[in-house]
Amino acid sequence: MRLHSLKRAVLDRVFLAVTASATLALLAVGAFIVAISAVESFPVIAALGPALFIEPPGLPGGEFGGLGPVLVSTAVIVSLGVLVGSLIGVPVGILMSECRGSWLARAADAALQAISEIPSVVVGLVVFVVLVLPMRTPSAIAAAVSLCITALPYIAAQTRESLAAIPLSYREAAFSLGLPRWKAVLRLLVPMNARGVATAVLLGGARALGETAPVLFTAGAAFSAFYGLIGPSSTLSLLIFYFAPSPYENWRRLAWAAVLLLVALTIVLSSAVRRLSRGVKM
Amino acid sequence: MKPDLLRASGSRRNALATHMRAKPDPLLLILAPSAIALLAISAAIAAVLVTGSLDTWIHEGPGFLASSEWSPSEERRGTYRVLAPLAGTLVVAGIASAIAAYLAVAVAVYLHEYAPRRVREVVEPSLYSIAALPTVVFGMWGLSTVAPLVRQSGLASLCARGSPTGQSFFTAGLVVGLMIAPYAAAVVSEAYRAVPFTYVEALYSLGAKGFERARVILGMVKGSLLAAAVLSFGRAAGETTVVTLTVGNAVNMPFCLFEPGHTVSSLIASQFGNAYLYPGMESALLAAALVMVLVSSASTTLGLKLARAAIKRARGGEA
Repeated sequence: MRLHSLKRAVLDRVFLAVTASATLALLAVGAFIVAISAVESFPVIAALGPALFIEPPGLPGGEFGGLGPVLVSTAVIVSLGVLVGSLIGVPVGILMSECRGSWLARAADAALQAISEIPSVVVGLVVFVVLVLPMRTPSAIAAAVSLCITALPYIAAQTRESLAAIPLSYREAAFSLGLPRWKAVLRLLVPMNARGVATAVLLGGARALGETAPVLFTAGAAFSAFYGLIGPSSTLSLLIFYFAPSPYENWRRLAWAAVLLLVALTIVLSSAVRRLSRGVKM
Repeated sequence: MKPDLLRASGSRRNALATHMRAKPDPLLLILAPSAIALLAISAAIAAVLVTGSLDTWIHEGPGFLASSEWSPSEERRGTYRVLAPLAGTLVVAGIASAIAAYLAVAVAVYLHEYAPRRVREVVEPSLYSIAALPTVVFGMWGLSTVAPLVRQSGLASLCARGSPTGQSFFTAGLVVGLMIAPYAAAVVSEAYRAVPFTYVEALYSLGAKGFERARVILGMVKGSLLAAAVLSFGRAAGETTVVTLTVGNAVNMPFCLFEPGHTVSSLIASQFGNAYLYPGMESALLAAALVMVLVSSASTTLGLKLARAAIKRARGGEA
């Protein structure tokens, strides 16, 4: 009997050790990525300071240079993509929540599901065939379209979830005012849920910012200047993808600086999303 | 307004037609353009993949998936067959989903059975943040840290053509597995949480220790373990950025895990940019993309179905 309980106690400790070390390993990966990007990019940050956000990347093997033009193109591409993605995604989310039974809502639901399951590199291929080939150049517009398609399912799903979280009593009150249904939904329920819609847009932004595969063939790789909407462009994540395997130390360090920036932006955005979405439940 | 009432009389299509003619819901009309834009986008994606790859299906037939000859030519149509990258995709996704599923179960058990509340309140949001990190960040980490570790481990000498840089099927699977583990852990955790509290109470009142409680509850949510593995497989099969940076990019059958190779996604990422130079290659890559979409979507659909069923089952207990 004593032996049996000893065996149980030992097994319990073993289980604790195994599961805790697995959890620790995952946390360590995250912590290591943050730490190494800070360490590796330190020389860049120390050398440039705020000029990191202004100067273009240096020549291979030369000075570090900065991320200026890449940040401009990233901001333009991501905001354009999320803007268009929201113009489509938010109404679709409202449709899926408020006209639940209609055939259009069901079709939209199926389409969203399909798009969200497609590997994001395939979105890039399709936009390449549809936009880049006819335009004869990769462009900021093509990249924005790719990111718009990638962010769309997240924006629509989050909008639908946040509307669905409005308590029944609020709905009853809105409908009991005698307004037609479209007014009750668009003038009362949606504005009441402005926070939920903002969360959806932010979530879409966070997704779009981090994606690399969709812009691989659509953005081009113009890191040294911003050439307008229909000229070749780039994004932060694309710069990392191109500079990471580079043999030049200055480019690799610049990629680490971009990693640090991207990690910081993602953590800020995703914690904002989490804080906002927690507040939705009224 | 009341489609159900109308639908009850007459056939379904008639009712729908009457309904639409009689009372177009203004809300539906206002929201329709966006929904139609969405439907057009998904139709365009399907159309491009199918029409773009038609040429390859006609030229290569089933041989496209049955051999690994990849010989581009600028003068005439080269031969493009994707057995090796397709096998690579399955192997890398298999490694990744095994790692992710193991870690997911361990994390769920630790957080629910062993971790003090304070620890859990710190660990859970941290895992959420790690899951939100961009994939390219993991790619850079895999390339700069994991691949050199694999190289130094000397495991490459187990293979005839072991990778001299450490970039290999195994490296890609490992990095992708670590990357998606927090997501898999969330799938298992959600089912774990759905188990009614009375069961947990009953286990405690029997004096069950942590691993005994875990064994009973994991038995109740075993569907979610499968769901986590299948969902991870689907995500890993479509993963591009990390894999392209860590798999080594060589057309090579995955007979030995420490050799460099290709997956369908890394083949696309590394070849599509120049594909217009080689007649037939663009179509072959679109055909490969179509196959990848089918593999990845099928496992994601199946995984989501399993995950929902697992939560429902956990809520209702064993019955």
